[in-house]
Amino acid sequence: MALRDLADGLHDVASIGLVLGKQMVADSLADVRDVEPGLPDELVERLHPRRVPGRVAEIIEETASTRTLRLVPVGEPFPPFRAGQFFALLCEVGGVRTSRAYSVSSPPTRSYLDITVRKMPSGFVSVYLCEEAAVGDVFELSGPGGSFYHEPMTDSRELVFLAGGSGVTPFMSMVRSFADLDAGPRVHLVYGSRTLDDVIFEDELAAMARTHESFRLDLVISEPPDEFSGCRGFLDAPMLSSLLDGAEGKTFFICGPHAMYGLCTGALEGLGVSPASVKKEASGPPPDITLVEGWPKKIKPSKKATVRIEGTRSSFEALCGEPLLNSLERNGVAVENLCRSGECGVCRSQLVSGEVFMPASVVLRKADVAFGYIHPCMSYPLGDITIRL
Amino acid sequence: MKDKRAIVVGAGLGGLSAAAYLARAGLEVDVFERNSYPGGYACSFVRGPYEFEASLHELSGIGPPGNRGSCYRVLEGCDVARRVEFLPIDDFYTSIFPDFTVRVPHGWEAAEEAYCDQFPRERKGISRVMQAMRRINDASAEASKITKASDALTLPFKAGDLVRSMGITVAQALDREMKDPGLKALFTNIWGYYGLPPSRLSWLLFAVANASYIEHGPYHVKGTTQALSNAFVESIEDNGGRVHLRDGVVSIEVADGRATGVVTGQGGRHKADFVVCSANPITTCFSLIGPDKVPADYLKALAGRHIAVSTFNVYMGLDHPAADLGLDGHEFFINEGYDYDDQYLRMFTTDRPSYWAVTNYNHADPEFSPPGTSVVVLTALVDYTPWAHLPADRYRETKDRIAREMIEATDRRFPGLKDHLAVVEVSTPITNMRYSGNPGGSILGFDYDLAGSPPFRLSNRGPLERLFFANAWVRMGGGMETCITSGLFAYGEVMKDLRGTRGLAKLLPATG
Ligand SMILES: Cc1cc2nc3c(=O)[nH]c(=O)nc-3n(C[C@H](O)[C@H](O)[C@H](O)COP(=O)(O)OP(=O)(O)OC[C@H]3O[C@@H](n4cnc5c(N)ncnc54)[C@H](O)[C@@H]3O)c2cc1C
Ligand SMILES: Cc1cc2nc3c(=O)[nH]c(=O)nc-3n(C[C@H](O)[C@H](O)[C@H](O)COP(=O)(O)OP(=O)(O)OC[C@H]3O[C@@H](n4cnc5c(N)ncnc54)[C@H](O)[C@@H]3O)c2cc1C
Ligand code: FES
Repeated sequence: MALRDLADGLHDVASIGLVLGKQMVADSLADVRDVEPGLPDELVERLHPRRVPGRVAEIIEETASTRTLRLVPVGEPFPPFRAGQFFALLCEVGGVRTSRAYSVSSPPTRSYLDITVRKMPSGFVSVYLCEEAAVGDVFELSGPGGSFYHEPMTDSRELVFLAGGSGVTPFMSMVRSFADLDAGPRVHLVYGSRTLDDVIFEDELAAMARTHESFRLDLVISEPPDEFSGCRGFLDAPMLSSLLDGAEGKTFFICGPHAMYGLCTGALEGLGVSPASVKKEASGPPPDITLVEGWPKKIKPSKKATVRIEGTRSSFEALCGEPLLNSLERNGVAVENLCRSGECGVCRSQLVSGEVFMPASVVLRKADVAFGYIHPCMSYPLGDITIRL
Repeated sequence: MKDKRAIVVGAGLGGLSAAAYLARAGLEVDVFERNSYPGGYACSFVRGPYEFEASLHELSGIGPPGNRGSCYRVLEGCDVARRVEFLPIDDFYTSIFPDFTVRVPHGWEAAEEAYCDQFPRERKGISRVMQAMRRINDASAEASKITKASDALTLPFKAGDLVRSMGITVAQALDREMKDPGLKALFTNIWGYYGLPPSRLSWLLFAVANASYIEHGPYHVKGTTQALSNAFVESIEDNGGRVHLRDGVVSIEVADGRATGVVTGQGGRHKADFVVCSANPITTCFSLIGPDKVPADYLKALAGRHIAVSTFNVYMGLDHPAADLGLDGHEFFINEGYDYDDQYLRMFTTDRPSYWAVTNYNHADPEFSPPGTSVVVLTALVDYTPWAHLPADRYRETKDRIAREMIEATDRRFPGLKDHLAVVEVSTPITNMRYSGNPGGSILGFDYDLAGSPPFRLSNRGPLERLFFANAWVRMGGGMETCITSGLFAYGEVMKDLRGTRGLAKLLPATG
């Protein structure tokens, strides 16, 4: 039998049934509810706006290289987010329209959003935000995004947060919200920095550790002053096994620079922690893609490749060592994006010809792998390519 | 026909199917979709090591080689079937009631036997109902061959069951034949797929849709329905069409009562000879066209119909095989009682549902998730109204509470489930709205009540010349098979305009 046949034929005999069905139709119209054709987009916008503007109300200098931009809503309140999630901040730097992901460092219980940015030595947006952004500037945000948050349904009541550098920001939002609510799991934050001066939020974290019995803080410094009496070194296996009293039954969160992930993951494996109890935040493109496993050694990051965009006359030269999304933007081609880490799929595009490198951390749907889709934010052209946006 | 251009608004299954047919017919086809992926509800998403099917529980109308169903034929007709692997599901469904559990297989005899085993004293009634369903099913296949008005007039005599089925509800059809409320609840337990309890649901729809599952068996798609949606895109593009992602339509241009093109979010202005909307008719009329340009009768027809319910889903990645927890099948319905009207009314609140499906995706596809793990999804029907009125800051706590309560209750039936949760993601009617743009987050368009059963659904022709619909809201209605079919219908209507073709049978390949 074919449902489709039904319509094709029945629509001619419908009038017969209509007569028979008339009374029933009338009955069913007296339904329990109002028909409210309220347009869906309005309802969705409250929770998931496509873009929301935020005005810099205050700038807090946290360390020599780090500042917090306190953003307040311009019109509608910011959408709700979970402590640990990030927003993408859109901006124009040097004539290039781009965006970067920033974890919110303030808790969801406030009306503002704090974005805490560390200036990267050879960075682009971070330099702009740390040097040029001023009170009164308005930035568009999209999000929230990410699953790097505490989920009581799956996580333990004992959490271990492993932070490195500016990777402390999502944890800051979480510990602040647990403190605000005066409820939540037990938290042990192990926070690594290069020097003592680089530690962000030091006073506030220390104060929380003193006043909240359920929060423990360990700072780990790799280049401390001689008189420093705390932990010296990195978040490696010996350090973690000395700081954690047992790993069993705990849920681990890792956020920090690229190098930290391998170090911490290895250390936790050594302690017998199952990968299912370790959550890792997305971390954006690595500083040196050629060091990532699987990169074809014969290809120099400075090699040039031609990128063609199907259906347009557009084509340009790109560096093999730069994420495709970045080169697209530099050439004036905008592609909607969110995480810029290969995880959210918002930039999903089709590779028509040629070859790209995507690190194993890129999260693709099985069907997208099968049908030749890529995530340009974490795809590196290995030669000339054609893509369909 | 390359000189004729069709624009398809949205890449839901209906729009994709229309686009694939139009591209094959040689039209120049552009699909504009606002999401970054095609498929609307027919998609997947990834969390950690798990990939989740967003919507599909059971696909109807596929069937094995030699017994292909109509959905498969429609997919063959647009060159999509060969690009997808369909996985058979061994049973139809398993019903869990407070006092009994019954596994219902597919196949007419086997299904009947399962109902009779549980209710042996009602054997006669069960048999009569099953026979009526078969007659309705056969007669509707017959009806499709009607080409002359005189034949149509004799149909009521030849196919009384079919014609009667148009005017009665499922409950009315069963009342004379079945006594035990437990039997009625068991027999109709799949009503959630059709969005209305038996007391309101069209008997015609129920009979025909169930027949499709019983006769051809339910199926799953290897690689989730994202693979099906991607296959559609591949077919469209192989035939010279284009699917533009992240570029939604913001308005439909109209001149002299005729759709003439669209304007997209990225600022493109595109002329078209035909505009086919996968986007729902309410948004299309009220926001893309503007109500002042739509005939008042049509707006009235929209307002007179009821928006079907949405869903609440708890997507769970388990660090353990689901079969070891007693989930030894694909689809289970948990019922806390036998009163479906009570179950339905609960859907208009944010109380824990009393009727939901538990789906074990690793049953039909052992490779669905990494070895030693499994994906299990809880799906309850819920209406969007309480969600629409919920303040934004209470959204999360409400969804978490319901999810927790559903997990607890499911764990009572399948002990151990809640100790193996590695990933949990929860979706609500608002989530459905976000990804489909559908009012109310409806999964089925308008209700399948008597006024909304297939013959009485809105036509695939829209309110303007050269404007068509291919989605759940119009003929054939909501559900994947029906939406895919609606694309074929919309295509048929475009072809009528183009060259006066009548009768879809000619456009389809012979049964494969
Ligand atoms: C989910 C998430 C949350 C984040 N949260 C925060 C936060 O709270 N605070 C914060 O400060 N940052 C955060 N980041 C990082 C942030 O998004 C930016 O990556 C960071 O600010 C650097 O951006 P940039 O434009 O300055 O540097 P980019 O120009 O993007 O470069 C970053 C660094 O990577 C290297 N690099 C990048 N591309 C290349 C290339 N093609 N070739 C060679 N080297 C390259 C450069 O050495 C440079 O120093 C987060 C990132 C993610 C994904
Ligand atoms: C949880 C769940 C479970 C389900 N289970 C089953 C099942 O087991 N079996 C079954 O057969 N069916 C099932 N369904 C129903 C089925 O998925 C839907 O009925 C069907 O997929 C709807 O298809 P559609 O063509 O109406 O398009 P939709 O899926 O509604 O998609 C509409 C598309 O149009 C796009 N769009 C909207 N507005 C615009 C615009 N202005 N510009 C551009 N694009 C736009 C949207 O982004 C979207 O991609 C289920 C649905 C859900 C949610
Ligand atoms: S922006 Fe998230 S995957 Fe590319």
